[in-house]
Amino acid sequence: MREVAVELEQWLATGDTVAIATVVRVAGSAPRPLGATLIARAGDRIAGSVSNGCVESAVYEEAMAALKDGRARVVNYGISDEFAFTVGLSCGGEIDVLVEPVGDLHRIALEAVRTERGAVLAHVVAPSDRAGTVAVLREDRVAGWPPELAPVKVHALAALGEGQPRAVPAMLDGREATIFLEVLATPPLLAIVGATHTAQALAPLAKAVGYRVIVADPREALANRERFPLADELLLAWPEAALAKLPFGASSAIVVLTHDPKFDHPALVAALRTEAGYIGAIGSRTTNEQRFAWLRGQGVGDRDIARVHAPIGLDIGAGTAEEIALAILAEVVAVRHGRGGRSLSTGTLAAAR
Amino acid sequence: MTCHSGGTLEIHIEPLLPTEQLVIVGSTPLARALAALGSALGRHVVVAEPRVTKEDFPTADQIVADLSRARIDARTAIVVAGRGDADEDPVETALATPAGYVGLVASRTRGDVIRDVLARRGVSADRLARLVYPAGLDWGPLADEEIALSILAQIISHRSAREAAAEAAGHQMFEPQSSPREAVDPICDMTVAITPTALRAEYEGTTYYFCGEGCRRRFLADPAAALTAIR
Repeated sequence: MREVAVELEQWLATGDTVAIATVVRVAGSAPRPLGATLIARAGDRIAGSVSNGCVESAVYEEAMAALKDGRARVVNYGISDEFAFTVGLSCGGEIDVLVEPVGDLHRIALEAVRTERGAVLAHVVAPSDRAGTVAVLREDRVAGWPPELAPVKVHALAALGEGQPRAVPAMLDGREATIFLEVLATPPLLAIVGATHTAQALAPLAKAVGYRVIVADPREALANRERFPLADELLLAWPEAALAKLPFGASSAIVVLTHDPKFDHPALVAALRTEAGYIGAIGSRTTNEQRFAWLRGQGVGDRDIARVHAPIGLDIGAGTAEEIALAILAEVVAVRHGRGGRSLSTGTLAAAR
Repeated sequence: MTCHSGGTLEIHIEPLLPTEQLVIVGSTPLARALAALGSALGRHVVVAEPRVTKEDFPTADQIVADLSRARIDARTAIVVAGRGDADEDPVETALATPAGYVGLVASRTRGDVIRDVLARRGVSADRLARLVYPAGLDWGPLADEEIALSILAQIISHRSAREAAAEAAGHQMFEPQSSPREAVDPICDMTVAITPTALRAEYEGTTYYFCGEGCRRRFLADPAAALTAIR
């Protein structure tokens, strides 16, 4: 729902009734991930996407029907024939989409998105006669949660903590039920130490990919709004003080870009004290050898040293500062998803050769 | 040529090449994310799609009705990111251009179908081999912005591989017909450009290339085990 939050807020403000469609199950290759959403209102207006277009018009019809009868429904879309471009997914996958009118629980989740907090929406996917959004959990409040679904709350908390959606089994009216937990995760944190030229290129890219970007540098001549108009926060502080203040989790990243051991070294020591899922530092091979030798001298063990990505960034042959920034961000995201950055099409290219 | 002062100076000549271009076909959320990130990367962003406006693509430098109206050179990357039901035509048009990269956002299944359709239409195997699908790096299911990021990373990586190949062959850079010289890192499976400075290691007469020092170290720790693991 995060991807349509801006439009949803605008539409609701005009007093329109709006329907929301959420991908609650994916089988095989699907164009959009679990939790992808689309909103629709009368007058052929949609925002967001559940299938990149393949089944959007059919979903729109369901949305209008849902607004008319006020009921939620789960609709299955698949494809029977690769070449039959009727209502189907051309990629050969299959999805279940929950379509329902937007209600109070959605509004509560929307408020969390606006204030950059996390939330989990619980949707009943099965049995179909009970389908619909039934509960919301935020860091600061819960709403909905029929007593029968109280056991699901612990799963919702886990989903929020890990930032990963999931389907969990439950019981409703003595029948087996499936609850899809949609996670509106808090934006992951990217702390950039060193307000350098590369940092200037990295900040807007990271913002565009959904990171909360904080730039830390004690030098006001470098860390200022003219140079970093899009950063969420500028911390005029030495690395140790700046990093000690921030809440780093597995999805957060610390990127050290100063090119100066007097900032780099303490920044790395401070970074290694955090739980950040990614730590990287810019520099040549020589710099890295000296850096790692210094860290070892400080008693930092191999296990910790292995946490530092240096040389930083995917080796894609980046040229400009923007490309170097992109290579860094690509590594941050790849590591967050537990991937090394293998090309999707390696097989295709190899086969073509 | 002599300097009047009797001293010498060296002049560094740096070619200022035209901005690299990113041409996007489609109006999907991914197409929009790609345009936004492409602009942040400093690319000249062209959207080739009918019925879209500046409102849909606020950062685009140019919007044209279809691919045939875009000016495409070897420093252009074309990404077809449509809804999947009408990608054959733009892919065929894109493969007929000198674009350095032609990527298709589609599942492997769907990409195979499009390739077969084009082969039946008489598109040559050489041209079809240039089509990169699924476009992007294998990071699993992702948000649109992350897919867009991985596609841009792949575009840069393919360009580096082409340049390295051209350099190795002593050719003029950016020749569209030069095929990339790449190797696959045996540890992380990443595609690595074979450049003079690329990290490498010899083992039993074969040269292996690596994306970074970490992978190289892991390989050298026990090459036999590393190679067994990937088989």
